[in-house]
Amino acid sequence: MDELESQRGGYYVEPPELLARNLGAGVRLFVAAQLFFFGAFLFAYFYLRELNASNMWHPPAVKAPVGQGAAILACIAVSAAVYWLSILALRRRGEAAWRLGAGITLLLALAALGIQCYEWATLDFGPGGGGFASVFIAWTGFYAAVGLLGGIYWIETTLATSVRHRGRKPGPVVAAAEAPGGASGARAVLVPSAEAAGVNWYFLALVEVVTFVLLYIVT
Amino acid sequence: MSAIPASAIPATPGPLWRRIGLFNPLTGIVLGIGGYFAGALGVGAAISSGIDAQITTDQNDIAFILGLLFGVAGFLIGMGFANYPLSRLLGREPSLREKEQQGLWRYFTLCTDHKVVGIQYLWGVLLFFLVAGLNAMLIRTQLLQPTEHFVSADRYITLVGLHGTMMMMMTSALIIGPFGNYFVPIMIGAKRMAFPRIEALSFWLVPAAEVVLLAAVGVRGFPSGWTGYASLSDQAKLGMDCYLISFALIGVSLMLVGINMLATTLTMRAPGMSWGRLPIFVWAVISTAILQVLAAPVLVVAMALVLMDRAVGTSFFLPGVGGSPFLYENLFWVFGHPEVYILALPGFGLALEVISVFARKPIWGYKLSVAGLLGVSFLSFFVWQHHLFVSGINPGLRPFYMLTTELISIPTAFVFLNAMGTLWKARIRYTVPMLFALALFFNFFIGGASGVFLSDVPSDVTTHGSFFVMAHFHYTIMGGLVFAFFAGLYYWFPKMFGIYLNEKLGKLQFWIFFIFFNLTFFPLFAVGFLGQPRRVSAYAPNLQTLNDFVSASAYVLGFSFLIFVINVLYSCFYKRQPAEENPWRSRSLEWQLPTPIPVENFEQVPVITAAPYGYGTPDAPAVANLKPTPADLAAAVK
Repeated sequence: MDELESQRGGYYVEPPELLARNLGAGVRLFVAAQLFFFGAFLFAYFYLRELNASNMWHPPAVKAPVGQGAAILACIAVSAAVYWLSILALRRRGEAAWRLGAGITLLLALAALGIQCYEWATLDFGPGGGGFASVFIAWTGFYAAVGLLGGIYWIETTLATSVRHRGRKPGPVVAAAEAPGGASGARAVLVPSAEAAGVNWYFLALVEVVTFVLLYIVT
Repeated sequence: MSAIPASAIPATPGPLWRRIGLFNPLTGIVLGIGGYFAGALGVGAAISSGIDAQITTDQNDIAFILGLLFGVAGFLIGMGFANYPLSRLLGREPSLREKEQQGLWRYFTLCTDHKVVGIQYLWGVLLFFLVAGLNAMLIRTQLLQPTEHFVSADRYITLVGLHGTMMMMMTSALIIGPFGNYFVPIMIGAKRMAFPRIEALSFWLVPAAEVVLLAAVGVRGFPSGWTGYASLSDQAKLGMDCYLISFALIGVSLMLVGINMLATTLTMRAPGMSWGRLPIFVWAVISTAILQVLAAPVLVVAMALVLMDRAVGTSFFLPGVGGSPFLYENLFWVFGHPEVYILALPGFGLALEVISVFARKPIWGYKLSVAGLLGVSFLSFFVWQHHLFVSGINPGLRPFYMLTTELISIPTAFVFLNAMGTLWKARIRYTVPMLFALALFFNFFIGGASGVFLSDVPSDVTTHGSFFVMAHFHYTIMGGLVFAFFAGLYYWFPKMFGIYLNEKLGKLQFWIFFIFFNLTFFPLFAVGFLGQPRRVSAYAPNLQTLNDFVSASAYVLGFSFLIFVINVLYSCFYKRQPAEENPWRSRSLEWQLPTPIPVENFEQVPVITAAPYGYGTPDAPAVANLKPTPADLAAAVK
C-alpha cells in the first residue's frame, strides 16, 4: 500500500495513484464542461435554423467547403486513432512507442489546424452572411482556439516531459512511491497524464464528427 | 502535475528578493496595462484598420476587446500564471517557488495553499461587495424623487447594471470562494485541493474581471443591466465590451472552481470518509460545483457570441440577418437560472452546518437534505424558460416550465424541513452565526413564496420586469446568501484568523441588518404590484412615499455593514482576543485541528471514524483519528 509506505519515516509523500485519480476525474469533468460549451453552439445552430429569421439562415450563396472540412475531419479522426493505439503501446511496450504515436498525433493535429486556417482565409462568405455563416465561423473558430489548441498543448506537454526524462534513473520521488513489483514512478506519472490527454482528444474528435456532419453535410 | 515530496519543499524561506521575485501584483498591473495598449493600439489597430464597420464609427470594438483580453493576459502573466504552462511545454518539472512565500506577502501573490486562496477570496469579495453596495446607495438616492434626479438616465442604467453585475459576479463566489476553498479539503481530510494552481487562477480571474467591469464607467457604461440582453448589447457603447469580457472571465473562473471542487471531493477524501459521512456543507459544494461545471460554459459562449456580433460582424442576435435576440435570452438563462442556485445552495449547506452545531443536534434528515440539494441542482436545468414567459416563447411551452419551476420548490422544501426538524426541541445557542443562519430561512421563505407568483404564468405577466421581481431575488439572494455568508464568517473567523469577532457588535450588526433588510425589500413587493418597473429611475409620483421609505431603510441597512467593518477592525487590530481551537465545540474535522491550521492541514493522513453530527450523544465516537497507526490506516483503506 503506497499510503502505508508513506506513513513510515514520518513524512508524507503523495502516491502516484493520487495523481492518476485527480487527472482521471479532472479530465472527465473538463469533458463535461466542453460538452455544454459546444452544446451551446449546437443549440444556436438548431435554434437559428428553425427560426430562419428573414429567410437568412442559409442563403444559397453560402457554401461550406466540404473538401476542406473532410480533410480536417480526416486529420483529427486519424490522430485520435493513432493516439489510442499509442496508449495501448504505452501500457504494453513502453514509452518509446507512445512517443512515436504522440508525435504523429501532434503532427496530424497541427495539419488540421493549418487546414482550418486555410479554410477561413479562403471562405467565400463572411461572418455576416446569415445565421449559418455566423454559427460556422464561431463554432469552427472556438473549436480550433479552445479545443484543438488546448488538446495539442496537453499532448505536447506530456510528450515533452517524456522526452526530457527518457533514459533517466528514477529520483527520490519515484523511489519513495515505488510499489513492490510495480512500474517506475516516472512511468506511473506519465501513464495517467497520457491517458487523460487521450480522453480529451477522443472527445474533441467526436465533436469534430458532429461538426462535419452539421456544418458540411446536413446543410 | 507531478508527485512532489514534502522533503523537496524548502524548510526555510528563500531571500526576500527571491520571495518577492519577478512575478507579483505590481508586475501584473504593469504587464496588464502594457498588454492593454499592446492589444488595443498594436494588434487591434492593425486588425481593424481594414475593416470599414470598425473605423467608420466612433468606437473600435476589435481594438478595445483585444486590448482588454491582452490586458488580462498580461496581468495573469505578471502574477506568474504562465510559468507553469511554459515550463511544462519544455517538459520541465514545476517550480516550487510559490511554496517559499510566507507571511502577509503570500496573500497578494500566486499561492497554491488553499487556505491562502480562501482568505484572498474573502477580502476580494468583501471589497467588491462594498463597491457594489455603494452603487446601491446611489441607486436608492436616485429613487428619492420620481422625476428629478441627480444622474442622467444613461448613468443610472449603468449604475444599475454595475450594481447587479458586480453583485452577481461577487456572490457567485461569496460562499464557495472563501469557505469552500478554505474548508472543503480540510473537511474531507485532504491536504490540498486536487488542482492547486487552477484554484489560484480561479481566484485571480475575479479581480481581473472586476477591474474590467469597472472600466465600463470610463467608456460610457452599458445600458443592458446585468442580463446583457441582445440586441441592445449588440449596439451599445464600448462599456458593453467590458461587461461581456468580465462576465466571460467569471464564467471561466466558475467552471474551474467547479472542476476543482468536484475532483477534490471525488478523489481526495481521507480513508473512512464515505459519502454518508460527508459534512452537509461539502454536499452543498458538490451540488453547486455540478452547476458550475455544466452551466458556466454556456455563459462563456453567450458572452462570446455577443462579442463576435459587435466585433466580427456575425449576426447571432440580429433578426434582419438571420439571428434572433431570443437566442441570447435562451443561452443566458440556461446559465442564469442554475447561476442563482450556484448562489443559493452553498448558503443552504452552510446554514445547516451552523444550525446543527448551535442546536447541538444532528441534522434531521441528513439524506433528505442531500437529496434536496442534488434535486435542486438537477431541476435547475429545466426551468430557465420561466425568464422568457413574456418574451414571446411558444405558448405551449409555458405550462411545462411553470410545472418544473414549481417542482423545484419541493427539493428546496426538503432543506427547509430538515432545518426546522433540526431546530425542533433543540437547546439553541443564539450566537451570531446562529442568528444569521436562522434569518436565512426566514428571508428565503419570503423570497421563495414570492417566487411562486413569478412561476405562475398569469401572475408573472403582471409582475415581470417590475420591482416585485427585484424584491423576490433580493430576498432569495441577499436574504439567503449574504446572511449565510455572515453566518459562515462569524462561525469560521476564529479558525481562519485565530481571534474572535466581537459578539456584541455582531449582534448589533445582525439586528440592524435583519430588520432594515426586511424594511428595505418587503415594501418593494408592493411597489412592484403598483406598477413601478425596474431599471428605470422615473416612476409615478404616488409611489414616492414608499420609495423614500425604502431608500431611508436602505441607508440604515448600509450602515449595518459599517458596523461589520468596525467589528472587523476592532477585533483584528484592537481587541485581538485569541480564540480557542474549538470555541463552538463543533465535531467537524476543521475544528479538531490546531489554530492556525498547518500548511498541509494534517500531519498524517487522518482516518475518519464517524460523521460530524453526533451531537447530543454522550458516547458519540470521535469524528477522526488524526494520528492513525499503519494498522488503523490499513483497516480503513480495506
